[in-house]
Amino acid sequence: MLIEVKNLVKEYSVGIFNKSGVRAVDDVNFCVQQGETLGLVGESGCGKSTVARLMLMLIKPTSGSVRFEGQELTGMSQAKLAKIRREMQIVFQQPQQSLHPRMKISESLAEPLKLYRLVKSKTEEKNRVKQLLDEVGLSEEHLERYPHELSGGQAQRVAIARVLALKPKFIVADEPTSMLDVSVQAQILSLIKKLQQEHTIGLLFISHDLEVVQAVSDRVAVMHQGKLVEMGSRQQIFRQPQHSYTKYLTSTILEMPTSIMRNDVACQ
Amino acid sequence: MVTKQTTSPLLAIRGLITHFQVKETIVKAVDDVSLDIYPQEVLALVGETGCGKSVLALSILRLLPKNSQIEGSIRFNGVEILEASEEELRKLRGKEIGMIPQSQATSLNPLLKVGWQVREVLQLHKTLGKFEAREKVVKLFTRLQLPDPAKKMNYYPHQLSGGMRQRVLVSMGVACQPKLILVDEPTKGLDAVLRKEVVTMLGEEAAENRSSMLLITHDFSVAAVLADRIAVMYAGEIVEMGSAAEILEKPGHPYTQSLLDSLPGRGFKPIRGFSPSLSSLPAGCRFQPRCRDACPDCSALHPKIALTGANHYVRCFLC
Ligand SMILES: Nc1ncnc2c1ncn2[C@@H]1O[C@H](COP(=O)(O)OP(=O)(O)OP(=O)(O)O)[C@@H](O)[C@H]1O
Ligand SMILES: Nc1ncnc2c1ncn2[C@@H]1O[C@H](COP(=O)(O)OP(=O)(O)OP(=O)(O)O)[C@@H](O)[C@H]1O
Ligand SMILES: [Mg+2]
Ligand SMILES: [Mg+2]
Repeated sequence: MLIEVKNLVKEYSVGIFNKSGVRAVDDVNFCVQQGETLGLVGESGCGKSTVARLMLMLIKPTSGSVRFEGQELTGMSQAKLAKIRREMQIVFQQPQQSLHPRMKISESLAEPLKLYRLVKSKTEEKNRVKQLLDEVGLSEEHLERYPHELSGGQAQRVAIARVLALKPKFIVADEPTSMLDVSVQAQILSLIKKLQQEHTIGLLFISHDLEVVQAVSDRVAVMHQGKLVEMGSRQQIFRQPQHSYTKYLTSTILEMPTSIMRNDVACQ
Repeated sequence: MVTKQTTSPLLAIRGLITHFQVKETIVKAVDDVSLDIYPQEVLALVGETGCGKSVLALSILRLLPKNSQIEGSIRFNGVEILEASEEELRKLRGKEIGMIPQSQATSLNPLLKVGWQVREVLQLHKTLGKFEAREKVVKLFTRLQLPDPAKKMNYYPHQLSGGMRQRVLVSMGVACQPKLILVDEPTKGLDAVLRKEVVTMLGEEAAENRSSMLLITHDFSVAAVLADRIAVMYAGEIVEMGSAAEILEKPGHPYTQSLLDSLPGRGFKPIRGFSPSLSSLPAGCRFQPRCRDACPDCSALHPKIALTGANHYVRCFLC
C-alpha cells in the first residue's frame, strides 16, 4: 500500500469570535496503491482540495491518520517530512500556487532538480529543463519568463512538468488540466499516464470533468459535503452508481455537451 | 444572429497587434486581429492554449504589462480605446466593459475579504450606499449558489474553494451590468451543475442588460449554448469566424476541424505536435506544420482570411 488515509477530519474556524468551525473533511477513509489512479470527484466546495493538502501535510488534520509507505505522517517533524516530500508531490488547482512569482520558469524547473540532486552538472541541468519543457509542449522561449508572462494553460503545464521531473511515488493532481484546450489536454494526460506507468506512480486525480476522470482513473471516490459517499471501480461508479449523490452527479455528464455532439461526422 | 449585425458594432477591432518584448525576442501574442462585436451579441473566442485569447481581452481594457506594445484600433461605442486617457479608461473599466478574468490568483486580493472586493466594484461606479451594495452582493452570491452567501462575504480568498473563488470572479464581472463583458474561461473548476448555472446566469444577465459578450472558452458546449458567432484563434491570428452553428457543424479551417475532432465525443483524436513559438513563427500558414491537408503553397505563402459563405471567414488555401 502506498498511501492510506484513515478517519481523516479537518475543521476550519472562520472569524475571530465565532470559533465554531466548518467540517470541510469529515471522517474520510481511502487508500491509493502503487501505480494506481484514484479519481476524486464531487461538487465544488465538498472538500477535495482540503483532502489533497492534508495528505501531503501542507495543513494539519484535526484528527485522523495519513500513512505513506507505512509511516505515519501526522505528528512527524518538519525535518523528516521534508525528506519524504520528494516522493509526494502536488499539482495545485491554481498554477500560480505551484510557481514562485519572482522566479523565472528556468529557475522554477531547475530548483527541484538541484534540491534533490537529480542532475550532476550545469549542462545536465539545462538539458533536463529543456527536455521537460519540450515534453509539455513549451519551448526555450519560455525559459526566461516569469509565471505572469505565461498564459493560463502554459503556467499549468510548467507546474505539471515540475512535478513530473521528480518522478515521485505519489502525485496529487488537483484539476491539472482545467485551463487546457481539449487537444493539449489529451496530450498532457497521456504524458502523465506514460510516466505513471514507467515509474509506477500512485495518482490522486481531482477533477470536475467526469469524462476525463473516466478516461484516466482505475477507481473513483465520490465526495459530498466533506464525506466520502461512494468508492469503486471506474465501471461501478459510472455504470452502476449506488449512492443517490453519485447517481445525480454522473447523470449530469450528459446534460450540456449533447447539443454539439449530435453532429459527429461534421468535418470531412 | 444576422439581425444584430444590421446596426453598427459596439466593439470594432482593426489590425490589432499586441507584442511583448522579452529580452531580445518579440512575442507576437496578438498579430493583426480584426473583429466586430455587435450590440447584444455573444462572440466566443476559442483556440489552443497560449494562442493569444487572454491578451486580446486584456488589450481591450488596456490592462497590459509594461513590456507590451500595442497598435491598430479598438473602437468601443465610438471611443478609440488606444487613444483614451487613463481617466477615460478608468470610467470604462468595470462599468461599461466588465471582465471576468482567467486568473483567480492575480485578480483577487488575498488580503481583502471577498465581499468587500465585489462591493468595491459596485460602489466605484454606481452611486449605491454601503447597505444597498451589500444587498446586491448577497443577491449575486445567492444566484451563484454560494452556500451561506452573507457569511461568505467575510471570507478571504484562500478560505474559499477553487470553484467558490471562480464564482466570486463571475459576480465581479457582472456586478455593474456593463455593456460589454469580457469573460475568460468562466466555467473552469466548476462542477457540471454549477457550470450550467453560471452559463445560464451569464446568458440571462446579458439578455437583461442587453449587453454583448466576448466569451473565451475551451469548452465547446459552453460556446454552443451562449454564442451567436465563434472566432477561432491560432498562434496570434483569427483563422476562422462564423455563426456558432456553422463553425460547429461545418468547420472550414483544418485547425478548427482537428480541434473538434479532439473532443471526447467526436473521436478524441488530439492534434499532433504543439502550436509554434510566437517568437519564431513558421513561414506561410502558421498551422501548416501540423496540418493534415497541407500542400506546397501552404509553407510558402501566408493565407489571408477570406469569405467562404454567409458571414463565414476562413484563413486557408483550402487545398
Ligand atoms: N483556510 C480555510 N478556512 C476556512 N474554510 C476553508 C479554508 N479552506 C477551505 N475552506 C472551506 O472548506 C470547504 C472545502 O474546500 P475545498 O477547497 O477543499 O473544496 P473543493 O472540493 O476543492 O472545491 P472546488 O472543486 O471548488 O475546488 C469549503 O467550504 C471552503 O470554504
Ligand atoms: N507579459 C508577457 N510577456 C511575454 N509573453 C507573454 C506575456 N503575457 C503573455 N505572453 C505570451 O503571449 C501568448 C498569448 O497569451 P494568452 O495569455 O493570451 O494565451 P491564451 O490564448 O489566453 O492561452 P490560455 O488558453 O492558456 O489561457 C502566450 O504564448 C504567452 O506566453
Ligand atoms: Mg479544490
Ligand atoms: Mg488565457
